[in-house]
Amino acid sequence: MKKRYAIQILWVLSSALLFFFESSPGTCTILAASLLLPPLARCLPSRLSLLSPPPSGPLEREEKELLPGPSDALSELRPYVPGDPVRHIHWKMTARTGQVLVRIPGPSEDDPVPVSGKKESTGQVSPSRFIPRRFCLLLAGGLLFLLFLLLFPARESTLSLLNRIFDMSESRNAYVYDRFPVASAPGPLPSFILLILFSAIWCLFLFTVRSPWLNLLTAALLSVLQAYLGLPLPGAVNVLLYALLGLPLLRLSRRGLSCAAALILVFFLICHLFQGAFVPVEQASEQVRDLLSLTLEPSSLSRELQGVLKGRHVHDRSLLPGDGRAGEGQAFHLVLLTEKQISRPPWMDWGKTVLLLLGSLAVILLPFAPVILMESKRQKRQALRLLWQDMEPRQAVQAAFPRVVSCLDAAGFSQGNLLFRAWEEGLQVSLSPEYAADFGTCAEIYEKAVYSDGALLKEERDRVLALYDDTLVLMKTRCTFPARIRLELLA
Amino acid sequence: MHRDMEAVCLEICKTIRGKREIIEKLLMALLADGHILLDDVPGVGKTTLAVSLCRAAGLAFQRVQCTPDLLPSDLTGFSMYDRNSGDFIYRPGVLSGANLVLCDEINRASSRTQSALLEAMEERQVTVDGTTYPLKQPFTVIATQNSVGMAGTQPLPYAQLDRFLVCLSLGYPDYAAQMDMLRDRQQVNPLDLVSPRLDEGKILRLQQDVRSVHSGDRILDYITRLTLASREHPQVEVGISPRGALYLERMARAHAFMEGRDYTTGGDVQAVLEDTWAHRLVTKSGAASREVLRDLIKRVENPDRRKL
Repeated sequence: MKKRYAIQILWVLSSALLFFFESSPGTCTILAASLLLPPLARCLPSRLSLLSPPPSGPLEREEKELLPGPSDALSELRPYVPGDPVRHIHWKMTARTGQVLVRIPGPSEDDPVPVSGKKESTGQVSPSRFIPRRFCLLLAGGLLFLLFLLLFPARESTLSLLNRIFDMSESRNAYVYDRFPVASAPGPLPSFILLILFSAIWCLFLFTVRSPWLNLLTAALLSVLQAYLGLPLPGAVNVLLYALLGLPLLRLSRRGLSCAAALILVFFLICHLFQGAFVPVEQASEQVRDLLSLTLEPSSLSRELQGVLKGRHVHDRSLLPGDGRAGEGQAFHLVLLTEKQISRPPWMDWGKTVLLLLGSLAVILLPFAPVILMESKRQKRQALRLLWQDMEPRQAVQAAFPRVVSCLDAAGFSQGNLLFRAWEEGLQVSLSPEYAADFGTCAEIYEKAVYSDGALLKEERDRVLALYDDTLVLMKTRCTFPARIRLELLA
Repeated sequence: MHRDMEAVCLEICKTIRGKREIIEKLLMALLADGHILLDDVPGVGKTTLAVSLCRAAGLAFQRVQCTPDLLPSDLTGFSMYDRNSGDFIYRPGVLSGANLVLCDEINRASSRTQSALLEAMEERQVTVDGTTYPLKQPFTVIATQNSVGMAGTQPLPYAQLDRFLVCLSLGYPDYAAQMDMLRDRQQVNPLDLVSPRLDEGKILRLQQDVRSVHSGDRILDYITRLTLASREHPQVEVGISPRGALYLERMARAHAFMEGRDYTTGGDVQAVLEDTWAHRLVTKSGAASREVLRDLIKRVENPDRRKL
């Protein structure tokens, strides 16, 4: 027990250091309410803000009639107050009434807040298990990082690895080659293994933290590395990596979309600014090198190229006259400049960049398109649901019942061109007799709303809205995966 | 079901066993102020049904056995010279004194007699020697025809068939109904047990109530689409006429009224479609009218789903 308290205190301290990381919302069995509740309560209204604010008083008689009967183990419901545990919210009644309601637990539920981290009766694992996991990951990553810096064999191996990488990076080779002394270490392999381990730990950490901003930072670093080294990963790998990194951004809804777009923009702008990152450039440089291998005479260059070449000499020691490698450096710059002329003519430069940007944005966002669409549909459905609650009963029924039908159609439970009243028999077989009976009753109410001029009662409206809620819940449990996608996109 | 009509239905069920659905449709046609054609084999209880209906509804009943020598004047009446008064006196025909007229085997009457009857059905009045005599209200004709023995008959042409609101068929009773029928008639004539539940005035009020049942645009749109679809169906030679559409709408309203509603739904239209349109449809060889109508119901988008 003391060890666990110590670990949790350390976690709090480390969280304070990493204060810019958001913790993922979820249920938590808390130890210190003052430390852990605020993030939870902050997360909660994002889901509940769509519903009307709960009244402070007791429930009205009309609302109590909608409550579960006396056979239920709960004593009563009351409106939600910030600070109430999420697990006590009665979601079904909340959706029905439009007010956030929580259960007032009976005597059997007055258990003290568990601190042992055991699995609770609701089946949810206490996130206190996540606390040492993140801490261990941080610790492991930190140790590895220190290994790179402090231990001599690892450091030398790292230098050797860097040299190998820069050898492969043609575009910056001349500038960074002599910044790192040639290593006498056994080779880059140990460092390479450490790098892989560090990357794996970092990925695990990203997965547990699930912070959109951390993902964005990682994506930006990845872009910079690829662009700086001139060693882009294969296109498919890049798409997959950026897709995985961008996924948590979608949880921010519209902001997430902007962040995903910003992520892609950052990637391609950095690639554009640093040369050597595009395959066509590499291909063009091969052709140019073949041409220029015939001569290294600067006098054969155009006046413009000579001027640029001279300008570059000022900034780069490796191109000073008298340097043994100056000739090679000159040739390299010729390659660079001519590559620019051949592979990216100025008038196409920005156009190509914009096209590539838009195309890549489309390709990378394509797997997200259904998710984005589903999310927006879900929000629309929630907004409509709230709107129906306040509408005149006849209009609400005319709006809500066809939605129930379209859900059943999308989920594959449609009864074709039969009148809705006749669907009951088919739904008894495919779904359940209780649902079929409810559907039949609501079909009669819908007929009354559509075919007659008379007014409908509020109870009839609420019955249809309850059927709509039940339908959404039922479809999620009874549908196959393709049917669920259809339901999310079409219904 | 409507309370009064339920009572009438129960009375009729004392004499006709196992045919409740047909009896209800008969009552709907009565409330819709239409005429009924019974196309059946002999001996299934057509006359008994008509007599029971009249007794239960408290209506005046007349029966006409159509034969080839039946004259139009037998139905409409005629003017006769009275020597004492020196004037022509109108002698009313069969149609004049009755609310419900049963014309047995109408297909045996001559074309002229058929025309006279159908004219009276349409206009609810008879004209004899230039003088018009209105018929009793309510006035309903139940005509029967036997499709089996067609020798020596004048089948009703399509134009005449179109004037009947519905065409029903009693058919043979099943085993249980047959047993009940035999048991009932051991000691007592079941017709004697039928007691009146309504009268002329009540029937007229009920007919007025049926006319006030609301048919919204969805229903009218549905009926119109069905009518147009019937004319374009590949197995139909002559589709439904506008009169057929009107009669369907009237019959649907009567169905809604019998269900206790003051508005018509798509279910009402579908429930009465076959009986109202089967005899109006001229199909190409080999196609059964009722099959074509069932196909129409499947093809045409039902009004519940329709967005207007």
